[in-house]
Amino acid sequence: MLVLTRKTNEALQLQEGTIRIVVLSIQGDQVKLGIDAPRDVSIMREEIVLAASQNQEAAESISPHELSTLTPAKVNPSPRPTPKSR
Amino acid sequence: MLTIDTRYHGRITVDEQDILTVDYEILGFAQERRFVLLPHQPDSPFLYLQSVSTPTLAFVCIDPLLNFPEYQLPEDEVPAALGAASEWAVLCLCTIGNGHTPSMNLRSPLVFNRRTRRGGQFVLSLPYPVQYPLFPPEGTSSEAPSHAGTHP
Repeated sequence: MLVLTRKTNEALQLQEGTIRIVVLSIQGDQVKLGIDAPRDVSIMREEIVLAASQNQEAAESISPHELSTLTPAKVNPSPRPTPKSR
Repeated sequence: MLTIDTRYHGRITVDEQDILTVDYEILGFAQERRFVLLPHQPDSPFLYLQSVSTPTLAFVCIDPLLNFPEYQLPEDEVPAALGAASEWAVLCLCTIGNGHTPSMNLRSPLVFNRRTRRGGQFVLSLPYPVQYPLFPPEGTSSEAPSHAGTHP
């Protein structure tokens, strides 16, 4: 992986400047980025892409037979607390 | 009542009021907005989340607490429209078959309000694993990998 250090308002150019990524601000562990790119360039948060591909795999992979082998007997018998929230 | 074709249960009749409405997209399945929960088998911890409009689309899901009792879902990561946490039903999609180690997705749970039956999928900012193994063999720990499950 290429690693570069940038300050606020400094930018990167990709593909001869057709794509430009600017560091807009840095607060704590959050970095705000601005991206200029042609409309046909898809820009996605990585966790969204990962979730979508995992969903796809979940939808395609179902094996009812294997599902039946994961019987309640193998279920972790730990008590079931109610979901905690803050 | 509504008659639908399903992936594993043939043609069935469902009550309109049992239908779950997805307001927050199941990622990659933006067109799929209505589902029903169907049992896998008596005594099975799994449920099928069956699409109302697409017979071939069904997910396997499970209450994550059955396999990961320490699971926590921060209330501020779910829109207020879904009500208080006490009103939520939380389900995780499972990947089972195709040679995969059976797993559930703790990072992107489905949350529905039990009363309104509306909800959807949310990607948490907590670093829970996308593939958390289901029901590890007895004798092994059910604790999450060290990178997961700690609350910031």
